[in-house]
Amino acid sequence: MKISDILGMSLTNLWRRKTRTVLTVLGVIIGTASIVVMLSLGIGLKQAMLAQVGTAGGLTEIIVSSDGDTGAGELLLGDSTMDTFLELDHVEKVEPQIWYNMPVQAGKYEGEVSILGVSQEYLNEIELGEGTVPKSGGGVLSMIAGSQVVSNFMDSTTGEYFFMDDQELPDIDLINMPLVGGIEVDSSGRDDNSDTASNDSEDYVDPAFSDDSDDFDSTDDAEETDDSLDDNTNDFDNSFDTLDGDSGFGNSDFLDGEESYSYFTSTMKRVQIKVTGITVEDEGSYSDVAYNCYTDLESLKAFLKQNYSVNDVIPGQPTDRDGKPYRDLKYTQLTVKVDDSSNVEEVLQEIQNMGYRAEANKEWLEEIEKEFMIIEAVLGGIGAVAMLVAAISIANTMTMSTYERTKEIGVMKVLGCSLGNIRSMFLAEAAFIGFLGGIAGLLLSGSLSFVLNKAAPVIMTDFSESTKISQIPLWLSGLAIVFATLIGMIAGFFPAQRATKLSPLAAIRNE
Amino acid sequence: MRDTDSMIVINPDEMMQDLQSEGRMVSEDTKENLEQEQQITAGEKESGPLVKRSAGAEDKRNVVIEVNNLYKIYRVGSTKVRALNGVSFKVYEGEFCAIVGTSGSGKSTLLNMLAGLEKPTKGQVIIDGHHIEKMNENKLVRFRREKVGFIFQSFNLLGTMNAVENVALPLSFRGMPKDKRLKKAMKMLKLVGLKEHAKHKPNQMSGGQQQRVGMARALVVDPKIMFADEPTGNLDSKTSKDMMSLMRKVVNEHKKTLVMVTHDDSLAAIADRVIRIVDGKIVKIENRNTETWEDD
Repeated sequence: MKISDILGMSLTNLWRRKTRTVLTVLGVIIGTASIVVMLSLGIGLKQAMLAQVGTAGGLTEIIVSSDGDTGAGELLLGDSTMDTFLELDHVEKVEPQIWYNMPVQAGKYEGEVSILGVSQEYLNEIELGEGTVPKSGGGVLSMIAGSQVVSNFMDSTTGEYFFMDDQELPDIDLINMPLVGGIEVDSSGRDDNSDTASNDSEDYVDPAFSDDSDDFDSTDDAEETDDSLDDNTNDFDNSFDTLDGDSGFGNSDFLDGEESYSYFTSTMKRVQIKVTGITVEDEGSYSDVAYNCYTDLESLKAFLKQNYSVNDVIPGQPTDRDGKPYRDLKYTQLTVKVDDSSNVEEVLQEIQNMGYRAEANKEWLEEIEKEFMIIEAVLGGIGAVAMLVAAISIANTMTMSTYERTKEIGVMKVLGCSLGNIRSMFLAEAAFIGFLGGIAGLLLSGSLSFVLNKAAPVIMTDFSESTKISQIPLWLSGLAIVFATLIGMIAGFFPAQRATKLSPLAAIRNE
Repeated sequence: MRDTDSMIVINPDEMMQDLQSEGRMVSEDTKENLEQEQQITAGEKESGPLVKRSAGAEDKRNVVIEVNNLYKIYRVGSTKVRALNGVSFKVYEGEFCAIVGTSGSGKSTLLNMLAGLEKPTKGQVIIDGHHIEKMNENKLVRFRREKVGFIFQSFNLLGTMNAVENVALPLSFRGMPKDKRLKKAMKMLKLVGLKEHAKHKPNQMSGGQQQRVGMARALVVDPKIMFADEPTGNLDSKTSKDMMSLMRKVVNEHKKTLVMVTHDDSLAAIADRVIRIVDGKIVKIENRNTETWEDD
């Protein structure tokens, strides 16, 4: 029997019992839609997650950091490391970062600020809400502040944290207010340094700064440690006399040591710093960017060299076994950009084999994806319950059909219709029910998905307009139809089998 | 055990006639439809000798159906019901053979077994050289598809299809392309005189018309053998007569072998041979010459 004949007869039979067909198809529609919508939610959530990762670095980056901060044998990140990495296959670019911590004062407010020295390119990519990107070089350390940086600020007179108490950002205009940074330069009291550098003891590295270090050394050689300290302080004081006078939070206040709320101690050197821009404030995504300050790497290097002598331990920089600082500045982190995400694994392996601690977003992503697979499986499972009911309904319809058509099947058998063809006819019928339900279910899912995406930002304010909470990718559409058809065939299998077993004698009997 | 005497009583006129073998004779009794007969009464329980005798008479023709010592025993609760109790006969090519018996005599069971719709308990059914009783379901269906045309009592046309599609249905089981099989079906409808009803659905046709469609459907596959199960059972007497003449015509003109089951003696009279069956046994096989019936 030709396939077209089998399909034709199946369609005729479905058409013959329109109501029942429609009702059964309706079950499949609901089943398909419930699975597709559930999965689309899982996919939407995952996509939202991936989008965040994409903005935070993408999939082609490997982050290299060193093993720890205590000297000996550890692999430090310096310029030579950068060169080594650049020589690896597939590596396009290596971007160094130096992390530095400093207390910052703005009027009566104070806060500990993480400053990341990054490439100019990196700075340019940061989305600014206001202000401008700081230029490389320049006398005063200029930076971009994250929109949430001020949440970390307290009232230095009362020790009150506004954000913690009120969930409101203190009213600090970082761009226009004069800012003062504190630098701990007491090289004898290294224990104190750890306070200043408190939370920032991440990763550091080794041979580097060839060019810069020369300058650094020469400067230091030329001057006594104490001298350089004084020198810097003087520079600062001279330049900003007026500032001190106006604001009334000059050295003297703290030197008196009346209040211990302040980060600033009497031994600290005070330098002027500047915020030229603030990152865009996005309610939806609280990224890392919002809590850090960013400055040009070279500017930061210059700033550090200017303010610390060669023997000083700079907060965030590694020390050797004896707790002494290295002569060169080390990078806190190197971001290795790989040409294609498929090569990330290979490069990552090489870097790890060299002994560096390296991570790829991709690795982390794979973890996330695994988690989302579970979430999707659970959501899909919930949807599958409706599909199961639909499958039972198909089985019921098809069984009813075999009962009704016992005689007809008998006649066909007597006339020589092969058992395989009879089975095919019933399977095709069940498959049609599944197929139609799959298509209609997909249309329903599409509308539901559309409504959800419209409604989600209204109901859940966390969601930005652009985030699609429910996404139906093409593969899911295709899979849904195939799956629905398959379910129909599976559900129709036993009724079809039953039909082949019916006796041809039914055709002979007369009712 | 059944009482053989009571069976023979069915046709008292026959009883009055002497056994005649090989003799051709015109009976004057018009009430009896068996005007020309080669009559063998089955006085003995063994059917073997009967077959031998009739076979001896028709030797020259090809045997299409050969039934040997066929039994069908149903179990109803603890009792056994012998629907067929040792039946043997032969049907020759181009022969119109009627199996006659009352309801419950086992005639339908016999037909079912000839068509391979039911398995015999014991015995052989050899059709065109194939042992039907040994075939499995798949082979039986194939056998029917290739060799058998079937006419049902209740027509059994598919309600979703029109006349010509119904006739073409068995051809679709053979995988014949649609245009080709519809053409052939149309030809068959013409043959049974229903050309103008080709597009009608079964429920738009009379019983007689439906049965003629059924006949066309049986013919369309160009079968080696045709089976008809009470083909006139649902028709009035006039339509029945028309139907029978049509069948007679088809057998004569198309050289088909037709085995028909009926309870009606008057209808059976049109056949070349009448096999009378009572309580699962053949009581009489009546042979007659086909030529006599050609002008009917």
